[in-house]
Amino acid sequence: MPSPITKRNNVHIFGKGKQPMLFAHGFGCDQHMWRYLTPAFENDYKIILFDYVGSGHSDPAAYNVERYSSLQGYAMDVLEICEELKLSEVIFVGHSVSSMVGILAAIAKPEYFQHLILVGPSPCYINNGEYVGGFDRSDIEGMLETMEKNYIGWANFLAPNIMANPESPELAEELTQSFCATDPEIAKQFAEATFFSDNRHDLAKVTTPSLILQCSEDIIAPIEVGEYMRSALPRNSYRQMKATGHCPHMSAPEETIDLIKEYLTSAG
Amino acid sequence: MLDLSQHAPCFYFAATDSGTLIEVNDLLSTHLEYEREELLHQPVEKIFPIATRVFQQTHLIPLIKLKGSANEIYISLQSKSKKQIPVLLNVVRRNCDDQMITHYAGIMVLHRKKFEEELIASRNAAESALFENTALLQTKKELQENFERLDQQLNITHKQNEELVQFNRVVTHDLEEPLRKLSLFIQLLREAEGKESRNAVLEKLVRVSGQLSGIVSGLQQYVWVNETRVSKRVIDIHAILPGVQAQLQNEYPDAGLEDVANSLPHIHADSKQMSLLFYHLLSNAIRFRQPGMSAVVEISSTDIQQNQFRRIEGKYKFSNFTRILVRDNGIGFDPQYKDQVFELFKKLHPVSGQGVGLSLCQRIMENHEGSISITSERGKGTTITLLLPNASGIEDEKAARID
Repeated sequence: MPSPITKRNNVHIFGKGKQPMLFAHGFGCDQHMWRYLTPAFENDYKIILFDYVGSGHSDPAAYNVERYSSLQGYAMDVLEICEELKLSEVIFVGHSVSSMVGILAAIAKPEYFQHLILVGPSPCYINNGEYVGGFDRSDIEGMLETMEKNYIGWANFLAPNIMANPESPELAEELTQSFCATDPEIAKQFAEATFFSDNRHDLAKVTTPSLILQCSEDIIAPIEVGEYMRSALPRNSYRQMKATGHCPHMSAPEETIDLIKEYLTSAG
Repeated sequence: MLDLSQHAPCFYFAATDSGTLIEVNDLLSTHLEYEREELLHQPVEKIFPIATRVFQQTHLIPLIKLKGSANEIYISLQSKSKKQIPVLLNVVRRNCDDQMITHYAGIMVLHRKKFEEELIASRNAAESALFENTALLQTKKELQENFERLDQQLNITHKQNEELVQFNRVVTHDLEEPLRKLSLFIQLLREAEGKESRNAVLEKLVRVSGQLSGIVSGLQQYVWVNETRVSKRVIDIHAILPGVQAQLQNEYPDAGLEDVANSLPHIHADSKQMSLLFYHLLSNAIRFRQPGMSAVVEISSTDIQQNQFRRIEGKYKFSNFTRILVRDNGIGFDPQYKDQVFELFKKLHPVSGQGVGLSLCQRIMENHEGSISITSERGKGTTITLLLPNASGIEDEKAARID
C-alpha cells in the first residue's frame, strides 16, 4: 500500500545499493528523463525517482497554486519525500530548475543530503546589472505570453502524444502517456516560478558539497551562469561538459555518467 | 534529379542532434526572408524566437529523444525581420547515413492563430472583469489575513492545550509526590526515637521541601514568561551573550564555557526573554558537558524561507525566517526523547536541574511566533534549532516587489 506522499509524487524506488540517489526532473518533463542515467547507478545505489506535483503521473488533486507558485513549494516535495522514506546521506541529482530546488531543500534540511549534483543549474535566468542570466525580463514575459496565447497549442501538445509509438516499442505505454503531460495552466505557473526566480542570495547558505555540470552552448543556462555558480556556491566542483544544449543526461548520457561517477569516487 | 519536394506547399527543415540546420526548403526560407545558404550550417535556434527556444530545450528535445517523434506541435518561427510565424509541426528523428537527423514538417496556421487570439481575448476579458472586481479583491485580502490570524490562534490554542495537560500532570504528580513524601517523613519524625534517627529524617525533609520549592520556582518562571508582555525590538544577539556568560561564569566557575558565535543577525525579539533563553541553553551545555572537558558551544545562523502557516492545511505563504543553531559538544541524549525534553518538569538527567529550562525556551519561542527543536546523539552533543520570523523580512519583500 503506497503512502500518501509516494502516491502523490509517483515515487519509484529500485536498485541494489543502500545509499539513496534522488533524481529530480526539470521544468517540462517528468521522471522518465532519467532513464539513460539510472542503469549506470542502480547496482550501487538505491534509485528514487519522482514527479513533482503537477508533472507526470503525480496526483493532480494535490496541486496547490499558493504552494507551487514558489520554488520553495517544490523543495517541500523533495523534503517530504526524504522525510517519508526516512532518507539520509542522499545524493540529490537535479536537472535545470531542480538544481535550485535541491539547493533550497539542502539549505532547509542539510541533514538529509550528502551531495548535490546540479545539471545545468541557474540561480537567476534574467540579466540584472552586471549579472548575466541569459534572458531579458521582456524575453521571459514574452515567453509566458506565448505560453498563455498558445494555451490551445500547449494542450494540443499533450493529446497526440498519448498515441502509442510503433517505432519505439521498447518504451512502455505509460511513458508515452505521461511524458510532458502537463496541464497548460500548471505548466505556465511552473514556468513563472522557474524563470522569475532569483536565488543568487541563497547560494552562499549551502553547506552540502556539490557538482556543477555546465553544458556547452546551453541557451537556458549559459556559460556565464555556470561561472557565476562556480564562484558563488561554497564547496562546488565545476565541470564543463562537451555536451551541448540543456539536457546532457539525454543527449550525452555517457559523459554525464562518467562525470558523476568521477565526482562521487573522488568525493568518497 | 529534380527535387520536387523543394516545391511542396509545406515548411520543411532538418537538423542534426547538435542542432545544426542541414536542410531548409524554398517555401520556408522565403517566409523567413533568408537565402537558403544563409541558414544552412547555422544553429536551428536562428529561426526560433526565445519562447520556442525554451520550449525546444525543455519539452521538444526530451520528447523527441525519448519517443523519436512528436506530432501537432504548435510553435512560432522567427523571420530575419523578427516577424513571428505560427506553425503546426510534425517532427521525427531518424537515422540517416549513421547520423541522427531530426526532420521538421510544418504548415502555417495564421487563421487558426487569429481565432485563438479572439478566444483568448474574450476569456481574458471575462477573467479580468472578475479579477478587477475590487470588492472581491478586498474580500480575498481580508480572507487571507483572517487565515493568518486563524493559524496563529490555532497555534496558540494548540499550545495552551498542551500546557494545560502539562500543568495537570505537574499538579497531580510532580507536586503530589513530594507532598506525599513530606507527610510520610513527618509521620516518621513523630515516631523517631533518638537524635540520630531524627536528624536523618530531618535531612530528608529538607531535601524534599527543597525539591518542592524548586518546582514552585520553576512554575513561577514559567508563569512569568507566560504572563509578561513581550516587548519586541531589534536586538543584537552578540550584545546579550556577554551578560548571560558572566552570569553562568558566576554560577559554574569551573565549567570553562567557550562559545563560538559566528556573525549573528539582528533579531526582532524581547531582549529579557532572549537572555533567559540563551541562559538556559548555555547552562544546559555546561551542565551536560563531557566529563573533564570544557563546554564548547557554537552558535550560527542562516536565513531561510518557510511556510508561515503551521496549523491550517493547504495554505502556503513562504516567509523569511532566521534559523539559529546552538550546537554543543556535550554528552547528548537518546534521540527518542527529543520531544519529551520540552515537557515541563520532564528530566532525562536524574540529578541536575528542575526540568524547566527547555519548556521555558519553547514558551519563549512561541511568544515570538517562532519554534524550537532539538537533535542529539549520545556522546556526540546536542544541537538546538531556533526559528524566528525574520526581522528584515518585511523590507526584503518590499525590495523584491520594487525590483
